[in-house]
Amino acid sequence: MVYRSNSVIDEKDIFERICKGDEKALELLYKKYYRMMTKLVISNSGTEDEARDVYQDALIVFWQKANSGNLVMTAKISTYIYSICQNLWRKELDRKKRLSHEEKDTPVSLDIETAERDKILLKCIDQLGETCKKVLMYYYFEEMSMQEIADKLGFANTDTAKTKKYKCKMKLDEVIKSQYSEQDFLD
Amino acid sequence: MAIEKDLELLDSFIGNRLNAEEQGAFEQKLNADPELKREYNLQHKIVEGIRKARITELKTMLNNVPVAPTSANEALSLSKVLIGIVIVGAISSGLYFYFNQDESLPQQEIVTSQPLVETENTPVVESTEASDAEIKNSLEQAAVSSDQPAKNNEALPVIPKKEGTAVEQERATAPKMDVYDPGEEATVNREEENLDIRKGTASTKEKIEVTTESNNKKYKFHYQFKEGKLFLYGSFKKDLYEIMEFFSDDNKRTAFLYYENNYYLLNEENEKIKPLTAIADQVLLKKLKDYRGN
Repeated sequence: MVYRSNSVIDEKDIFERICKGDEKALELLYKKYYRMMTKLVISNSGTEDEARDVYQDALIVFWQKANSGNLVMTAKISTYIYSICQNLWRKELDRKKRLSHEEKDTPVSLDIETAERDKILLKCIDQLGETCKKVLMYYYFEEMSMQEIADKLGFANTDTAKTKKYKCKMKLDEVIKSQYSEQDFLD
Repeated sequence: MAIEKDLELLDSFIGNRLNAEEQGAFEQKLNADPELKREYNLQHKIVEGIRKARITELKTMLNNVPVAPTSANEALSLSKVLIGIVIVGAISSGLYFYFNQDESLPQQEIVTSQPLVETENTPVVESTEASDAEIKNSLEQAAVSSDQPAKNNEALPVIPKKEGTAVEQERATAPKMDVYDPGEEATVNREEENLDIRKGTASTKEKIEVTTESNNKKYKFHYQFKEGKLFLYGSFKKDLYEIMEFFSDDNKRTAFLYYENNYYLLNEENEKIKPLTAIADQVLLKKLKDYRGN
């Protein structure tokens, strides 16, 4: 029996949806190219877990660039993501090689400090409301414009979005400063 | 104390909102103002934390997307090899029993045993050649009819040299059997999906041309086959849909619509406008999901 699929998922459609911050489109893309991308890592001495991490990191880089408006697609999406995967995996292999030659004490202790600080920040961010979290994430990570944030979260206009972002950031700063001293962060 | 305007600029700088010229100017200001620099270090870490939180959120979302592990492909290849070994083993066993039943075999055994006594190398070649001819004939026999093993070698069909050589090579480099694996079809077809299938590379039969109509007030979730085209009535453009076509051996087509996690049979029998009814048959649903890869 022959099976054929006439899916209406096309490159342009997916890219447009991703540029607008459509997370469903990102999930579709993830599933569509999972095998292709993870094969690259697995066939180059990587494990399934490492392959998944690299692919997710690459996809998130693509997502961030597309949302920030800093991406002009001149090749297929798969080609672009594949090249990001290649670069990330190459860096990871270099890092592993370096770690095996250097002393292991220093890099591990620095990683622990950074990880601890990230945990602190995550706890503080979780204390904000859902809307505040989204506003700050869309602004600082996706680098969306105020108009895009207003459209996505249903604010009346860009001024409302700007005010909301300002208040949410102030609230986050207060939460962090009330719980932790500046030294905790800068040490 | 850093003034408010500087703090605004600082926020724009960290949020990558400044152009190259503005960035350069602000960097100079940072280097000249230690208090502003201190504030920058703190704010930079906070914003990096926000970014990492977002990355964690996206990764969690992606981890919840069901995907088949890639190493499963290797397991599939291994299973093919194992199946091949089992089949070769079964054929070898069959041949063994067949030889034991054959009257002419004992004579040949005697013939091969004599050279073994005389020399070490030659008899191996002779016996190999003799048994190869036997096996060539037997494999051809097995391919033609397994129910009627030939009792007389002369009755066996003549094997062209090429085939015989191919058969010998197959034996020499076993196990490499071309075994049908139902999963392979789905795998191959899923890989074809990654190509632009609408360019018509997958099948020689013309694809169903689809037109959606969202403005029909009477038909909100219906379909119609008309003049070889498929019309979908309803708001299909907002979300993604998929047409799945299956072709039987006599080239008869059965089509399904996949939309919003449901499957719908598309009946091409007449040109009536029909409602779309989700398939409830669990067996059929499972097959469709397997083909679609979810």
